[in-house]
Amino acid sequence: MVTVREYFGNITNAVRTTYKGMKITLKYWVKEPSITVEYPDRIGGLRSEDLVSERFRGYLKVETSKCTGCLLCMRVCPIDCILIEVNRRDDRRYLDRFDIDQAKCMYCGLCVEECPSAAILFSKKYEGACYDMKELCVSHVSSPVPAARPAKKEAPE
Amino acid sequence: MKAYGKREAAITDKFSTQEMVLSMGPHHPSTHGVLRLILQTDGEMIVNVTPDVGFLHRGLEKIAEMVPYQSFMPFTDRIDYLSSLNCNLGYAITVERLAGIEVPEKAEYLRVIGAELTRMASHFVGAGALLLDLGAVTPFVHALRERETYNTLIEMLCGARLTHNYVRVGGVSHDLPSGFREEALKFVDHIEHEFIKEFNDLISFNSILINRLKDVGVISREQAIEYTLTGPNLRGSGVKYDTRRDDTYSIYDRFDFDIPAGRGKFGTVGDCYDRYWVRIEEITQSCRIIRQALNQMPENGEVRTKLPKVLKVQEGEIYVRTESPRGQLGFYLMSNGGTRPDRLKIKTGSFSAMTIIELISQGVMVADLVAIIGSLDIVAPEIDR
Amino acid sequence: MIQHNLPDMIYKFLLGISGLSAIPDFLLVTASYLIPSAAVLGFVMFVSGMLTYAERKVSADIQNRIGPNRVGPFGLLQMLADGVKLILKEDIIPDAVDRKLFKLAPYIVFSGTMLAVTVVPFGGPFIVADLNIGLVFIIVVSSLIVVGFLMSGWASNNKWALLGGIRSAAQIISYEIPAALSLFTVVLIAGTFSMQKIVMSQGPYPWDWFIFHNPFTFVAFFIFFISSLAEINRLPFDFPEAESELVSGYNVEYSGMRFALFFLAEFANIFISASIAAAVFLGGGNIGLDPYESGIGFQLVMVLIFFAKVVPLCLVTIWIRWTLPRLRIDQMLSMCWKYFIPMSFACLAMTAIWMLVFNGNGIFWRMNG
Repeated sequence: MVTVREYFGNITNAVRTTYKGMKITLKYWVKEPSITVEYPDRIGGLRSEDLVSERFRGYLKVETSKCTGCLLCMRVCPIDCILIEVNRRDDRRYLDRFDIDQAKCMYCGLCVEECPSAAILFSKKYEGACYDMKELCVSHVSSPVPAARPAKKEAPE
Repeated sequence: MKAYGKREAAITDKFSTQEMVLSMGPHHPSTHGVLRLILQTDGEMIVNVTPDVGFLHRGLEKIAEMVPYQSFMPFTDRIDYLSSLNCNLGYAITVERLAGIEVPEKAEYLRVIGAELTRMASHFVGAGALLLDLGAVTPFVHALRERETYNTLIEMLCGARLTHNYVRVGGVSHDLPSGFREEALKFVDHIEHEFIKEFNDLISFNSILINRLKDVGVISREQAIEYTLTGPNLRGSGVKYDTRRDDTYSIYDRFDFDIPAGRGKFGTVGDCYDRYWVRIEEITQSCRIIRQALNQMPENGEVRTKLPKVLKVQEGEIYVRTESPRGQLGFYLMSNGGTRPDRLKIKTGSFSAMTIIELISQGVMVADLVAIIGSLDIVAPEIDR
Repeated sequence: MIQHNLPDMIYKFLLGISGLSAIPDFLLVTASYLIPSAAVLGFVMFVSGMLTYAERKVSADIQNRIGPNRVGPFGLLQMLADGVKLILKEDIIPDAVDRKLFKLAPYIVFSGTMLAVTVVPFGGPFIVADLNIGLVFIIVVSSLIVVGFLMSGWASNNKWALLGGIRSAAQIISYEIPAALSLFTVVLIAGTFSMQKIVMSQGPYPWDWFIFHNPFTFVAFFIFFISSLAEINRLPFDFPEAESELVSGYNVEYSGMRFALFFLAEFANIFISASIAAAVFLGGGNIGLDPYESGIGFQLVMVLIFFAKVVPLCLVTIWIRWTLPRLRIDQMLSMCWKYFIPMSFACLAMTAIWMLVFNGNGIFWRMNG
């Protein structure tokens, strides 16, 4: 059975805790500023790239002049979104194809870490909305590019 | 309805009722993802609950057999998207133990800092989503606001906000960025000294909330052990068991922290409020661990051991348990000496938590079921993997 | 004393304009009733639109967000954009519904709400019909809403909607009792059911209001306010549409304009319950002058005073919604039957005793005559 003390205790308890909670919400209502970032059009004249941190993992960018065509990134990619074709012509290796399917890419960063010549890097770009899924498959090589010669191996310690 | 004509209604002099089958989910606001529960209800009272899982099965265990050891790391993010760093850590430790890889001192500290930050952030969502299901929207948004700070911190650390993929086999991917230590300490102080207190005043001690959660969904100590509940759900039933302390991994033995356990703060031991309260207390404990780790961490040092590009693990098998925010996260790894796992089995906390719903929601109301699901902190992708 | 009311005044005004022209008398009579009704209908729609804006803005402020700020200055025209969106949306009627009831339900809810507006004294002479049973009328028509909720829940042929409808029936019928009883404490003092007379028997200053008449009316005010929250399905008691339990409750199958009618009725209800509380307990638009005989300037001041009391009450309603969690249905009912009904009965009885003992005088003021 509910005693008289419990009965009125319940009432005062409800009133007290509700008052506490409403005091906090009132504080937020009148005092605390909003923390919303009004992306994309009202971000204080910044570009969308400026909103993210230094290490942000955005679209992959490839410097084909550095690429040695070692295919490490292609092999390490867990979902096979990188496709590279390297062919040997006239004693030189040529990059005929370097496609990255940004729609498939999960931005894990394994390829960037594996690359020995830092040819494949993250950019800060992340706005990839487009009308056709095919546009997300980015070709980094339009005409065959000679692959860079691998840097000399460091002398073994 | 039409078949039940006027005549039958006239003949049945007694007011008889029928049990109703309700399909709660897969698209229901409070099933936390795509979880389906088939309810048998008598009005609002639940007679029986049958969970129907499998909507989020992505075959992660099969994928593991097809990619190299290191390349499976991004997939562990997807086991539990609210605490991806803890899943990274669990997998990394599994592979390291089987392959006998040493991890640099600094990397261990970075791992612990990341994992504990993620645990806090996960509990923000876990506790917040429970409150959201009970109709309190503001605390949920306030908790998410703090998670936003965490997201910024972790973005500084590893460059991603949700699927971190920070831990690597043999270390971590990045060293500490400049300014991270100060920011993290500020965040931890804010959480421990300001936010938690305000949050408790706003909602945790609210008498409506207490009445909603106390004595609801009571899991006794024996039931919790029998159903292999782990993590906060087990501790909510009064069992002081934490893998971080009892089967220690990484460098958790160097830190001083308490293991909060349910003690029936407002009602019975093991009710929804106890599980909720364990989560709130764990946030404070994580703050303590992070502060100690940040202070003890060596200034310089390697964060990653040099490993071959394609890792080969000697033949054998291993089972490693780690403590994720949703309970014990176990990885069973079998290797046949090749470059890919022979078999990887992932055991998650949400799965066993989901199995107990059926037991504890006999005879409760639909509104209580929502509270039970919320207090067990079930994340649907973790059930199915 | 001459029986005043707004349609009569409009009738005289129209008669003055048209003079002895050929407009038939019945047209003038119809117009004199239609004009205030239409004006009030439009006004209440506007107010409930503004309340949706207020709700979104207040919730945003409480949660460190911005809220609507794109449509118009400060997002004030957001309600127009929402309205256009709802009108343009496809009106889906699911196949398995009971079509007649499904279509009828929103109108019953809406008209139940709007009927209550007719006896709300907006201050000055602005009351559509000053019925001599005004207070009872409000209580009666606001229970009409439950028929609409139950109807929509049943007709939707959806189990969640049915649960929502049943819940709303249980809830609204229970909370009618404390709400009505706490209003009757005031009737004991004022001796009339007419809303305008209740307002006029109070005074312009806080110590003239019925809320401060005696300690029991003070408690009755809070009982009324909380049970009106339950009657209008606001948050600590929003069971019929508990979105995390019943998905969206009774209106889950509705879309487009039919949903908008439920939505508008919900927000109009906030306004109505706030204005009843303001008129009955807080002196309404009373500034100490006769509402009918004073000039138009004073009459407008009365309206302003009335809204100065209603708007904070509406904001408090919204503020409560964004602070508290939801009760459980059985707790809500036990709260009603164990706490509110005994307390409101006690308030009624104690007020009656107070009236006997102190000869109708309040703590601060004396009944004239």
